[in-house]
Amino acid sequence: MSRELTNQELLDRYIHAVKLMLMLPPDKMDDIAAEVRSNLESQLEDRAVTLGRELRPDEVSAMLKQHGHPAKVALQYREQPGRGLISPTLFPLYWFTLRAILASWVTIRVIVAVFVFQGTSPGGAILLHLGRDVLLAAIIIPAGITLLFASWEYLDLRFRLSEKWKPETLSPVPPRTPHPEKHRPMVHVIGGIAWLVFWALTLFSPRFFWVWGGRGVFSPSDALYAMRFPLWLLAFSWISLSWLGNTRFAASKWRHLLRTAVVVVGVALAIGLVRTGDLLVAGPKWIPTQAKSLATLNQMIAGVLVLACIGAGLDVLRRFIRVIRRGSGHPRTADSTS
Amino acid sequence: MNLDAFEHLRLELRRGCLVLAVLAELRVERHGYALVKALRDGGLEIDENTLYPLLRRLENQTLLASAWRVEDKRNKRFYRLTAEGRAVLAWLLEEWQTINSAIETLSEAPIAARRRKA
Repeated sequence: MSRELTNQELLDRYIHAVKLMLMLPPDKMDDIAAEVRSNLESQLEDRAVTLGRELRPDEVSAMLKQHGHPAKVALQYREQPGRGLISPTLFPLYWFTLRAILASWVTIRVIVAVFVFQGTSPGGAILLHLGRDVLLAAIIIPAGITLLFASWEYLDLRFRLSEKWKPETLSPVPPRTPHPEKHRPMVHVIGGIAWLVFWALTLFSPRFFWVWGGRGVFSPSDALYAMRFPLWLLAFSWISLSWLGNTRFAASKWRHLLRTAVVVVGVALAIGLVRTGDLLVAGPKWIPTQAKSLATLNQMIAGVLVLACIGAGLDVLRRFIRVIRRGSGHPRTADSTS
Repeated sequence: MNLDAFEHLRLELRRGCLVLAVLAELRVERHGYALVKALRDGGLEIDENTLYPLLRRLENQTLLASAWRVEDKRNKRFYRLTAEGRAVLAWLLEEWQTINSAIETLSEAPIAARRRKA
């Protein structure tokens, strides 16, 4: 049997739910949440004074319900009309499901590949098929899960805005974790170093990976091999910037400029690579029946590079617009127009 | 009678009036809930979920200024009209008077007369 929530717990849950649904920068979210809390506390206090006694939890619940669903309250503060495909409330579950399904799929695929190809195909064939399948899954699985969650989000919002909700059923406030984001740069740096080592071995010592003891079925193209040093340098710059994000340099304007420069160079290199044609070519143990798989893998790599270029370009544009707005002392565009 | 159309037009009419009422009430510094009560006492009901975003917009337009302060052992956000807000309020009131007298002149039965009958 679940215990009855206290007045404070009900209020905390309500404010937390509003905050989650605001979808605004953290400082704004805290400010708005504090104001909604202050207003509600005044109302509750006023009611208690009128009644001449402390309010019971069911009375607080009724007042919160009358105040409106957290999604409805948050919607009033949104700076831009409309809403995201998946709200922050559903996002943690969406993100967990996506990662769990992708990880399970890759694990199963690796196990199957090892058993199926063992002793029958050259080792490089495993990588070829795995690479193709993983890239395909990286597009199809997120698309499917996003569609599923977006539909759920749509139906759920309709439900939440209806009168069926209860303040008691809102999620409890999670315990505070001290600076969780601080671990992220470390993960970036460690991941980055591993990537640099792999990249160096791959491009500078092709025998280590591509030919794989003389059993490989594909190798890097001449263009990819020729650009190995700039590519390695680019990866190194990106990781260095990640590391510098942990230092005082993070506050510097130069960090944004350097980041933009690295992105621009990266986009230029990616476009250059895509224009050269196939990035993977037949290796010493090439089997003609695998031609289709290699072609698909090359198409997928080219597709990922193009998408990455578009994403990076949009990111640079967004940062550029933000810098211009700050420079012109524009307060909050959406606010002033709404 | 088209109630939907009436409701829509009533809300449109109220929206502009609310801004005027809020600006007028904030010639004296008040926190949000005190403002809700002041408006209610003056005969103008306003939903808190409409008022707070409105206050935020007016603050972004530099017509209002706000500050967090402790009152009765609780942190509250106090709003007040800025100098720019006072000037805008004066113009709006003037505009309001003009519109009001124009409506009275244009309508067959003036609003004041209707109120007297009611």
